[in-house]
Amino acid sequence: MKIPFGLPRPPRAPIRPPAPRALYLLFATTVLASVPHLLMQPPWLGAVFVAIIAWRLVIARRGDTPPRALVRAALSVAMVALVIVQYQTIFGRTAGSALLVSFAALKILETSSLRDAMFCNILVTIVVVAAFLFDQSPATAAWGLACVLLVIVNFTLLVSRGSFTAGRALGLTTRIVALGLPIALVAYVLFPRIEGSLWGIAEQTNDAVTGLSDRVEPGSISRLNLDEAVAFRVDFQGDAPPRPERYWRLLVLEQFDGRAWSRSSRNARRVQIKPGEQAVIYRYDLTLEPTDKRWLPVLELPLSIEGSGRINELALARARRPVSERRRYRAASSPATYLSEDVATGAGANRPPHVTDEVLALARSFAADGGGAEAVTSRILSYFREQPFHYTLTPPPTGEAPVHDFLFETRRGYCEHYASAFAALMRAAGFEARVVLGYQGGEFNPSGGYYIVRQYDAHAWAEIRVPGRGWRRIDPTAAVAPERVDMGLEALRRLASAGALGSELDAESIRALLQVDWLDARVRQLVLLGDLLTYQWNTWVMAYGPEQQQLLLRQLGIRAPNWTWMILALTASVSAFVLVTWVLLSGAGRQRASPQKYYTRFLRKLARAGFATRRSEGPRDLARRAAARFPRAQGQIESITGHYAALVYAPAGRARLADLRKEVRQLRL
Amino acid sequence: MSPPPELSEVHAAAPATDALRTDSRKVYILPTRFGVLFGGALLLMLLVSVNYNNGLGHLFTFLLAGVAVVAMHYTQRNLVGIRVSLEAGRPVFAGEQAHAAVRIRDELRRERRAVWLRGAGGEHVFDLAAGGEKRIELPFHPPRRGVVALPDTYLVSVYPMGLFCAWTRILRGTPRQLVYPRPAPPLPLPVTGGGDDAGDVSGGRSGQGDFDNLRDHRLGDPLSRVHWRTSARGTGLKTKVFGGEGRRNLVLRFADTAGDTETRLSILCRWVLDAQRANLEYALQLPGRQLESGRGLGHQQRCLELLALYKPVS
Amino acid sequence: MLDSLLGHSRQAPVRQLETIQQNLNSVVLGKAHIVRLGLACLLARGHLLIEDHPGVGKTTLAQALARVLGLGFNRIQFTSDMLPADVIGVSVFDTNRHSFEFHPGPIFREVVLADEINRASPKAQSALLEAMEERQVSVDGDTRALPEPFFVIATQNPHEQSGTFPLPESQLDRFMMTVSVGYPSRDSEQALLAGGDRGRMLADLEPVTDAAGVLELQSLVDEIHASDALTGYVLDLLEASRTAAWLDIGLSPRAGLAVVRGARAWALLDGRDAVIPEDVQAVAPAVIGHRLAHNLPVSDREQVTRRLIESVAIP
Repeated sequence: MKIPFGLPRPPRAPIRPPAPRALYLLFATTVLASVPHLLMQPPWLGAVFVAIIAWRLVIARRGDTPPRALVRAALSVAMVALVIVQYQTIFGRTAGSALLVSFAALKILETSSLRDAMFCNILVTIVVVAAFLFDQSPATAAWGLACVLLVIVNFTLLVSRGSFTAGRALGLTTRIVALGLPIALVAYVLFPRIEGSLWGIAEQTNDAVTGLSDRVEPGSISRLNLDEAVAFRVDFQGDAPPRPERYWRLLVLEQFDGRAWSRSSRNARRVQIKPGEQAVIYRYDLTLEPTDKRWLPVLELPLSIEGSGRINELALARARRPVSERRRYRAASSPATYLSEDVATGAGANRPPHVTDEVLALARSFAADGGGAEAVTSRILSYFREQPFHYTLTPPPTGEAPVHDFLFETRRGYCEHYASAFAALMRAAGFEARVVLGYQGGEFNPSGGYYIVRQYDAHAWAEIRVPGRGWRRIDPTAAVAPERVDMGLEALRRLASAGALGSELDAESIRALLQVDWLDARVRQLVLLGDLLTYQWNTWVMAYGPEQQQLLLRQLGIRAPNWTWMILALTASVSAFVLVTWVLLSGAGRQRASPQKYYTRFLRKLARAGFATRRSEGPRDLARRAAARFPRAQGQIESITGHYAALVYAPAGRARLADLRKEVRQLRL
Repeated sequence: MSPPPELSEVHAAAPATDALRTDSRKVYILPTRFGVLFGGALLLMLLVSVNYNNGLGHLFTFLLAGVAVVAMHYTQRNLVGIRVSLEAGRPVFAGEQAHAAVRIRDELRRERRAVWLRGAGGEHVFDLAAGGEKRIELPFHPPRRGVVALPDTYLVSVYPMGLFCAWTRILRGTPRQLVYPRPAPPLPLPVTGGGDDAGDVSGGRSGQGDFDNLRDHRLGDPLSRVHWRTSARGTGLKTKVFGGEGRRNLVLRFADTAGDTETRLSILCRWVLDAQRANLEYALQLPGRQLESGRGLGHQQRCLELLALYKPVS
Repeated sequence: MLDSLLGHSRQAPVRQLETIQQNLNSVVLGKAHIVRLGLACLLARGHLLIEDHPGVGKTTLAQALARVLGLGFNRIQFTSDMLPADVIGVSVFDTNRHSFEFHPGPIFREVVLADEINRASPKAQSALLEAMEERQVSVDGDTRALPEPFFVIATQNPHEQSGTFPLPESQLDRFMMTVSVGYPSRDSEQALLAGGDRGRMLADLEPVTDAAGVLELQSLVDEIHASDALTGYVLDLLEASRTAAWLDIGLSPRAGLAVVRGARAWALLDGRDAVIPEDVQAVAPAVIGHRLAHNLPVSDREQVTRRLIESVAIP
């Protein structure tokens, strides 16, 4: 192939008016490509779109010419004006989408020539890709693929006059896409990804994000206990910690106003946490659903996090920017009883301002017997255990002083009640304590080998400070309802629906209660399989950003994939695939197998030796002439021409192509 | 000044037919304006995808780019491996339309679609079945008398997606078309040979040989030779042709004509045609070249070729 | 090497054909190529037209052919007053039997020499040519098959103009080959003069085979392999003849068939079971020379054919 510069001048590209059939398919493609946009837009736009298409169809039916340029220009101005009225701008995703489908409709209205049709078809590709800005689900991808196939079919029908049937065009299209796909995949994997937007005009994609907020008050977590939305998924390299160890830290709340716990306003430092000697280290890849927050959940206690995340002195991980898209990062954690002292410094231990006297008295009674923070803690936990406290998924409402109401009146609560009351009691007793917010547990997906942590796994627990050793995790919920930590919330919910929650049951009967029937188990398996597909899709499509790209390349054995490397690799591998495509399509293989090729080589050898060959001369005549000229090579020459003649003129099987090739190669004149 | 070439030399230099097989080195390819537009659309999609860090956007942008690359290979593939032979048509007179015949055969057992054959005189679009063959006549107007190169002819294809245009030039300038001079408007044959040939022609004998035949009356035929009896039957004027005329030694001479070289050749051409039609025996004399007296279509052809190939002696 | 790779598997007929040629060449001196063409024409079930002066050995060739192959021979001397019945025969009323009885004409023989065919009236000519084409004659509504094999050698003297009826182009097409014997070389002519009486020599020729043997040889011709490449080459030749500016009339499909059949026979005579382009080139002048009308001042038909062959590349 030659891509010439300058000469010779290409002849004018051929132009023919498109066949009506091709035009109708083009219109249908445009409509199909516009549907997802129209569904998001206000109804008037859909109505206008349909009206314009209908107008065009009437024109086609009657054989009229499309409206004149002036009318079309007026329509374009009107559409832009309407979009501005609707959105006050023509920039950005939503307004852009409205403009795009408007133009697509107007383009259809004027399309009658091949030039217009080709232009319209190219416009459709932009409309398709623009729709991905709003949704990247597998269903949308399938729709996009259908549109792209149709676009290619349109191109072939427009170019190949009317003689091509749609079925054969589709066959050709499939081949083209199949050959183009490897090139696309290589480019997709290797094209250097950057984080964030080029111009900072990327808007938030998720309008309503559910999940934890940074305040804990009664009801702030229990409202999530029916929310099955996935919070994040975790893929452990090697062993995963057992369920009771799986505490995912998200927030540390140090401010207590007597009612709610919230974050302190001080700025956290960035720290490096070192694992203890002989500590187990868990390494995992975590795919976080978008939260629009900077919080990155990590397993207690985080040692390191890759990418743009940072670990601060509260042993929390923070992103540089709010997580607006699905994001995947790799982290390492190591369980420890105490957060080391240097990390733990500076945590507030303010006295609770609005704690009732009864609460204060109760706290003092715990502290009265002396002992340190840990001794008092065990007394409080025993109190929870021995008094008729109940764990419930539907806690009764509490009044103005929730801690008091919970401790002395309702005595029924969710994790937030226990954590909050515990920390408040500890503070009232004169110890430093705080509430930690995060997730606990997570469901294992056996088909994918990863853990799913859902919103209903949200959990609150407490931390106390043991002077000289650091902060220690205390989960008061576990004292009341060990099942919550041992079996997870899903199991708890089933127990609750059986009315067995809070009752004294031995392990045997609990297992009996949790026994699920066969159908439920299968349904659960299907759900998990679906989640696996979603997970893979998320990993490779939606969350495939710079971090994931680095991860993948490192897994492929590239130690430090920098930009230069990626661009070189991209260029090299795309070129390689383009070359492979060319070899496949040029039919070089077929040509290689012909006797003519070796005979031509033979003739070239003769010509180089100064022997004039004639194109109208048969092999036997040539052999006679050549043998007279090169008497020493007579045997070889006669053998070559004989083989050639046998291959070309005799019934099949007289001679072998390989012999001809060998003899031509060995010929010396 | 070299002597004018013999016709055989012309044929040797440029055979009447020649064939070539299009191969990938001779097939050029460039994006069409739609291809450029599509490239622009791809760039836009890529920028938007990068800006919104959109995975599917990246994937589909690259998919469309891959499709374009594959389409480019398909476009080239549509033209490679076609055997084309271009043949000059029969000789024509200057001003007439000549036809170059293009024979096209697929040699790679590959279906060809929407291939355009484009020459100076016109264009033609065709499909070719795998292993199929087509013969297409492209009309063209030779610009002048003599041995004229056929116009540049291309095979062009934008199949399958119209994003790339592949083309290959087939047989530039070969073979050649033989173009006789344009015959001058009708005018009478020279009555006598001049000078030294005068003795051979006895003007008084005109029309006194054996009565041989009748033919349609032409402008310039003497009235005395109109065969009135036949003409009166309403079949139009008929002129008597006498066998004796065949024996008259008519010499068509360049020197007997006036005007510039081309005009003179046109007049000679007209005379040759008229002499042949009248079944006369005639010789042709050009400066530096001459043909002995003769008659018949073969003789006429040789005369016309001589006129076509005449180069003025400086 | 080539001949061994493409050699014919059945050696006996090939050797027999060699003997036949040797015997023929012992009588028809110095004309091995013409003898071979004539034999190929017969094997390919064609008919032969010889254009030449009288006395160059046309009759000898025809007679020798019939003799060596063990076939019956008849000679018809054409004259201007000849009637079709003189060629194909006539029905005569037999008064004894009170019925018409068919008296077969001279055409009812395996080898027929139609001497000076251009002297006959077009009517008599066409009677012969139709019989050649259809290999049967119809008299009074009865169809009578001609013997098998059936081979006509016609001669005409091209230089005799007055009082003759040259065969029209459409009739020429019915002859598979046209050859010109030409004067013998000096050596051959010396041998001819020194040698014995031709008539005696002919009578002394031993038949190598018979009618059944000839039919078998003819069926062998059909088995000779003509590959796609070879037929493609012939098609190229036809196409070139139709489009070449220097040829007025192109070759007909019938000419193409004749070329392939002739080339097959030629390959058999060469002891091969597959046709190579050289076979086509060998028979082409005889097969297509007379079918090509040309507008270039090239009188010699062989020269036209050679030019055509040279303009077409071998695949």
